[in-house]
Amino acid sequence: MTDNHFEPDSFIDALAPLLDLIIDDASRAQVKTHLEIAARMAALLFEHKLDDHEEPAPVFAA
Amino acid sequence: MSNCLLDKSAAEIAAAVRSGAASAREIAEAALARIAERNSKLGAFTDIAAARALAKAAAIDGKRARGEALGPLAGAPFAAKNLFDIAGLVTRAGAKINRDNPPAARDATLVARLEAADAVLVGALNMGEYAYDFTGENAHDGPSRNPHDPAHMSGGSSGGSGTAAASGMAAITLGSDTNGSIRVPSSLCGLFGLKPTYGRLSRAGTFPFVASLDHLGPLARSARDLALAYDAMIGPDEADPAQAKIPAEPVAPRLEQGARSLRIAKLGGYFARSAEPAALEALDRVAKALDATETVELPEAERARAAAYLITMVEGAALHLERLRARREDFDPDVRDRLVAGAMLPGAWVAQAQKFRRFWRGEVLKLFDRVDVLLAPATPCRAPRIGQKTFTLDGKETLVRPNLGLFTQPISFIGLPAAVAPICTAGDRLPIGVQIIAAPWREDLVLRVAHALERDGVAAAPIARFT
Repeated sequence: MTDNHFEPDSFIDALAPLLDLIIDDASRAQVKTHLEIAARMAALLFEHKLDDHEEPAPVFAA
Repeated sequence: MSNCLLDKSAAEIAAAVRSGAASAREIAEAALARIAERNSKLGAFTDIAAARALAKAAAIDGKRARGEALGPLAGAPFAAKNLFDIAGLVTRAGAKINRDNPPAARDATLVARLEAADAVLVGALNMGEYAYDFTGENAHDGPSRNPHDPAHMSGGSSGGSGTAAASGMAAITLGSDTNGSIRVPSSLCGLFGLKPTYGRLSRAGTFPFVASLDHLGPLARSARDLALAYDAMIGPDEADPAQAKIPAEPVAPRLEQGARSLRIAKLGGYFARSAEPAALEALDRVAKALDATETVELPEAERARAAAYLITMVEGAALHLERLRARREDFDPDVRDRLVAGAMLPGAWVAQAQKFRRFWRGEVLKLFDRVDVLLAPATPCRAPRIGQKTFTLDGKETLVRPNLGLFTQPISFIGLPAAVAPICTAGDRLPIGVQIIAAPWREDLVLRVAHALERDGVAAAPIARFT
């Protein structure tokens, strides 16, 4: 999902109906651009191996 | 007299009101007249609170007439980005959609605290829709323009906050900063700006964007005014669950301690790679003035920025998902399409980003064992032109809207306090800012350094003489 095979059209086609979001032709190119940017960001993020025990930043306080 | 006073700092205005050299009413009337004259050309204000300003000014003058002590910001005009609740006004958050909401019943905590210090609220300020913006443009209210050259961007998303302070329509403005939205307009409009530590100032009574990353803070034309505003706004507030239980001390009494005893270094690597010469020259001038000869790196800064970017996309989309379904056509398309993309991102991406945030915080805090203050460009370039969609960074054409904040985003990702010092260059109409960054809860250090740069004539925020 974060490799070079990322296909934003597949994301849009699968998820827009699931999320009940309308994406018309005018905005589809922009949404694709933002998905491609996000995929590059995610690929960069996942290149760094984190310890399994690393806590996420927000820790709920009961 | 009062019109001239508007060109002064909030501290000087307050001193004049306390001494009786000017009345709060005179100053409020002059500020409202200036807003009436300048706002149509610059687009800073979306709401003008004339009756409220005059009533508050009358109350201040009444206190003085009775011999009561006045607050540290007595009579100083201030304004708040329109995501701050102001009693009686609809909290727009830059959006057409929010205009259907009822007016706010009470003020945001920080607005109330500035008024408690006897500052005078004159209105609410333009901003990028739902704060998802670095340009200062707004599809519904028009752009907030850069007073140094109105053909150029103010920066966002606190664009009106930058425009109003830089044009002398308000001495202090309030903004929000999720990824750089105080620091970017401070840089582009040539202002001092403060993004305090995450969790320092109450966010109660403001419209959110990304709860994990949202900060609030002031912009002004002097570092002392930032300190006075900050001092007036600190303090616990049970209404903000993200506020840290860490006591805050006033900073203004410590400003004169200066920067000489501090270990200061420039940030290189990621923070130099994409910066234009103007940004690097400003950084070098500041570093030289502070005798900061060492350059250090924040390893993994690019990855940190990526993580902040993903958290922003996902949390922002979650906040607006129902509106994206029901009010699609009422969004600014540039904002909507980013939010729609964010709604589709896998949960694993944002979970990893939050884990990386914790990891990277630990790595960066180690650096503060040997350095007190870090310097970095605030923006990669001076203000782009309004309407400009792309610019060239590091040899690549890239989008302006998400990338003006590429140097601010890693810093707010881990909540470090940062001030912006504005740098002007002879012959260049547009200023540019330098970030002054410290360890968490050390707002005193970033404001001391900003004040020292101002005192020594390195940084300055003159009122723009726009035409």
